[in-house]
Amino acid sequence: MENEFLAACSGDHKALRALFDRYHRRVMGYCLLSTHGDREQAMDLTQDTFTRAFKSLHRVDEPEHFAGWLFTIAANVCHSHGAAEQRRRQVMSLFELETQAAAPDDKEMREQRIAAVQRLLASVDDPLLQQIVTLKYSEPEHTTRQIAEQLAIPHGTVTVKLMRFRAAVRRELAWELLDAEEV
Amino acid sequence: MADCPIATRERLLALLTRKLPAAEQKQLRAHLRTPCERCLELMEQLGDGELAEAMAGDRTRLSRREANGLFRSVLPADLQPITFLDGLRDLTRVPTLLTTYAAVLALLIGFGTYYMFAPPDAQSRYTGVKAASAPAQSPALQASLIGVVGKVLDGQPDVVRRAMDNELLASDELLLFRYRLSEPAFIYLLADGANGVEVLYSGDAEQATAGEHELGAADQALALDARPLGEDVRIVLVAATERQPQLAQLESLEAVLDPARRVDSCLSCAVDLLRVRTALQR
Repeated sequence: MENEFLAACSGDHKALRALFDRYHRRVMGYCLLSTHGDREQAMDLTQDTFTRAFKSLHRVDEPEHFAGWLFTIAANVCHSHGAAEQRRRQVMSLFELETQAAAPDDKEMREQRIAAVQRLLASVDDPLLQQIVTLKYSEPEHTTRQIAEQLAIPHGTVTVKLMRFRAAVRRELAWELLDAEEV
Repeated sequence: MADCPIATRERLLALLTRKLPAAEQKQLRAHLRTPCERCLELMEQLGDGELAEAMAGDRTRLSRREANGLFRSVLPADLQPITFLDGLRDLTRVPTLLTTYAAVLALLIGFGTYYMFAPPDAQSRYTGVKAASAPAQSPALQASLIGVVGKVLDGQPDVVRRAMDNELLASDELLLFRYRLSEPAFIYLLADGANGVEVLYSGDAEQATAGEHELGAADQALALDARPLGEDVRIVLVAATERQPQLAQLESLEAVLDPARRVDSCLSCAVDLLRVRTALQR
């Protein structure tokens, strides 16, 4: 993955195609959520997302951050495309948490995201996980290394705990997706 | 930790795609609201965005043609296989240049010069440039594809040489095209490489006139960087007296190369084939 990503950054056509093939259906899935299932619009948004991503791949500092960065672009593209209704925005904010997309620029969406985090934290008993998640998603957002330093715990502990939190986000997202009955 | 007996990956994805039996749906949905640690183990194994992809189901699935088109459209400009170059005047000098070269280096490019200026009847006997497998053409309409290898030097296209069949293109070389028609026709340029068949150029808008012309649009020459298309690329010119919209959906070049497999409207199409090989992709 790392070599492939570096090759893509240098303009390797095969590596770019591999990245595209790996992620385009997931990006499409997200775009379909935001467009009420309109496939044509979702394809346009997917196109816009990858166009922006491939134009500035060099901005991704670590290959493992690519997916989150890509979904950040998708989120911004979809947000600027048109405001979804409240119910859908809730689902999308969970989706963005799940894909590690950076917090959106839009103030309302940021508030939505914080509300989603707080809602999930209410069911978390682990105090360390609560601290980590709070730091991770408070403003400004902390990196995992900053959180490890601040809490004086190993970096690996932070990443493992956050994986668990994201699993909880996924479970919530699965339930919300079914509840929304919209896509 | 053992898998959760209620929320397995398969059941979860089936639930999202509405393929789970109704009786099991209720149970699984209710279970997703419980603090099951084994469920979290499962959720950790899912990839980013996988849930949304599953939920959207087949609507995220693109046909090969859609995926190829979308992929090509998102490539940065400098990685696009097709560009249109200004400086058509330079390219219209190809015959002149080749003639000049031929005078000096007749042994090297004599065949090419002969081919470009010979009458159509004589061209059909020439096999040095064309693919040996090029099918027979309708006597009513004849079309020839002529590949020209070029480079962009100081922002200007410059002709390097005539493209021979199975030509190996260097990494900085582009392929430009000329075509010759015996009568007015709609023309299309198709490529078949690693990603399947792609339409490189569609002349649906208007019929091209008879004679020899550069392939391009609005006084710009179509230039192909063949490397993104693969290491072995077949390029086909299709000329037709009627528009051929079905070419945009072509899955296999054989559907035009083999006269027996053509659609009715293309029975009299004239087809010419050029094969090129490319250096390693960038």
